[in-house]
Amino acid sequence: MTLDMRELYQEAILDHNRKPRNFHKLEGTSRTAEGYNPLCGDKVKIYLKIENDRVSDVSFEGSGCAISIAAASMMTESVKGRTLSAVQRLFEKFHALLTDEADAGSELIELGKLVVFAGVREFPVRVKCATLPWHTLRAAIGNKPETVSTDALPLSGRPSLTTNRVREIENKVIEVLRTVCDPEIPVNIYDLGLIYGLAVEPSGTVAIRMTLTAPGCPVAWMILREVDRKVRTIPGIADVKVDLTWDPPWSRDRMSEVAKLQLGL
Amino acid sequence: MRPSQGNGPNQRSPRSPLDVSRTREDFPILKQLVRGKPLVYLDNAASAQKPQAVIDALSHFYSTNYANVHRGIHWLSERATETFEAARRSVQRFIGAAEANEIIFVRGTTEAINLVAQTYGRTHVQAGDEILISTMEHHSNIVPWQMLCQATGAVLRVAPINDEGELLLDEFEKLLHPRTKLVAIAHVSNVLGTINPIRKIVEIAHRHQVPVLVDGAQAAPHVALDVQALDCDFYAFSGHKLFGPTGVGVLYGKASLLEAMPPYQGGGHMIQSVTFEKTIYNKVPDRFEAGTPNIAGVVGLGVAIDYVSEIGLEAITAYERELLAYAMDQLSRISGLRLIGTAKEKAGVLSFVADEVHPHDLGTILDNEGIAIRAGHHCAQPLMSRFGVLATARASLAFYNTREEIDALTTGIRTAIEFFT
Ligand SMILES: Cc1ncc(COP(=O)(O)O)c(C=O)c1O
Repeated sequence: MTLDMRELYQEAILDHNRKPRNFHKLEGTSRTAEGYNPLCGDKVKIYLKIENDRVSDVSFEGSGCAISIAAASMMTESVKGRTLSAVQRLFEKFHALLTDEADAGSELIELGKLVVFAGVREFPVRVKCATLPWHTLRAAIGNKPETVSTDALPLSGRPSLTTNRVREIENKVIEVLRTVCDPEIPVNIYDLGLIYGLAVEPSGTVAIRMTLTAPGCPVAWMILREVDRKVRTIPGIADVKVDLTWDPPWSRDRMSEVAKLQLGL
Repeated sequence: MRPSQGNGPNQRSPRSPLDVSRTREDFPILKQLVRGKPLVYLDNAASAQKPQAVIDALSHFYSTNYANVHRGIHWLSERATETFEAARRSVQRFIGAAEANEIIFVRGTTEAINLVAQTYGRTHVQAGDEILISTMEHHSNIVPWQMLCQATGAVLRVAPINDEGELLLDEFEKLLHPRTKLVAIAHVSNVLGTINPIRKIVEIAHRHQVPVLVDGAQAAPHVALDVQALDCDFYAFSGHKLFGPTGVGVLYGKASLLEAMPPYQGGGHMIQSVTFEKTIYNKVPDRFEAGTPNIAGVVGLGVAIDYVSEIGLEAITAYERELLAYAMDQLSRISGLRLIGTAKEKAGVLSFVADEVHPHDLGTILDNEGIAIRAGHHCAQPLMSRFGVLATARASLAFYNTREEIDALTTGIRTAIEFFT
């Protein structure tokens, strides 16, 4: 299993998915709300008891992916006993954790163990899985009978990058490309002129079009993979696309002055 | 990639077997890396990828032959119209229709079905009448009929299926009444892969004087079609699942039925003459193609059909059948995995659920490996409840998929199951 997946599916999430807490019906309350995610069919029902503006008891039922079950389970644990305004604050912090770029340290402390959901931010399509139970909880607090649907929730995901940030990232990508070397010629692939196109989209996707010095190069995959892997580590990047092209074929006059000097040409 | 060409002994051998490493070369998108890994595209039932020929055709058409169709008196419009109508003839040949006039261009399967519901349905269906569908229908072959029933007071009937996902023909026949006005049924299920015995279904329905609409969205890319041999009355499919552009699809209808149907939308091109008192509608198919159509889309669809025909549907079917058998075998060896849809006659769609892993999580983990599958209810919620699940994971094949890709899928699923248990 790759590292990314462990970041998304933290041990605590797996544990709450296997053994959800407060996973039952709550008798003696009519304060309930249902949430539904039409994309994947996830369903959650929240039962709530409120006394003196405080959550005195909360539970849930439903079925869904690991993220949504764990989110609901951990949510019930962290809101029990809190005042309604504290619950609202916690919801806002949780939401910010999943959708905002900045993660200020003080907020993390307040979130407590809910920070295990930080990894979800890297998977925009999964953000709604984590927030659905929370939206449903708010509906229960507000005593709103209609089903909460993720279709009606605001689009989540990253804000788009500013022009300056795009330029910064472009420079970083070039820096990184200069650390990847061609196995045949001991010069980095950027100065060799193997990079035909480089674009950073405002969404944070980096698109690279490149060639190699010789078609049929047996280690082609390895080089592309190295490029992908290294570029991916640059902060602020959402995705990397590397395209290999043989058109036009590479030739020596694509090399930069630096490269020519290095090779003593 | 290794070409796999294991034809079963009792199969007609295709003209020339499919060479998968060559066909893959035709699809530029398959060459890219996703999340650092070679893309494994197994979401073909949602939409298929496009061969270079189709991509180039769009560009070529816009660069050289583009103008509005059917209305210009100038040279370019004539060329555009010719190209457009040539695509209609390609479709006609592809599905074995008797006349090109029986081919109506629409946005896709969804629009084709709505067209029939709103024209044929509105004129033939009255309160107390019945429309018969099956449990395995896509929402787009359910909702248009529900809307029609709501508007007319007709009743929607649903023919059941067995646990393998096969239509129960006896039960189906029992549901045919003198008041049944139409049967609407999928040729291939987008969730189960089941290939319905359309020829037989049509025969039974016709015995009761009931016409049949076939939702061919999932069949057209995989099964050789001959609408005259099937004897179905309407046949609908989408271009984008057939390696063509999005936003274009086909409704086939028997000329005798189409000619008796009122128009669908009003506007330009569907009329012969308009005064404020009276409008005389155009002939078929123009009557059903109001407004400027998706001209380039139609042209692209024509090229996609030519491309597929050149490979040959027999070769495609044989290749996919072998790949499906391999995939079914591999997946059935994974403990804790349940395959949904095990019909004897089955196309390359594999739905499955893992005991310990929600389909959505499975999708994310496979995606991280560069493997694109779909997770969800696949627009077939009634079918999900039939099998007692809310969602499934679905891998759907095309003729450019390989055994190696199936291996990647199996490995990915095993990793996910291990991870979650
Ligand atoms: C069986 C079936 N019918 C109809 C449709 C609808 O097709 P479209 O969205 O192209 O109109 C689909 C697409 O998923 C399908 O699989």
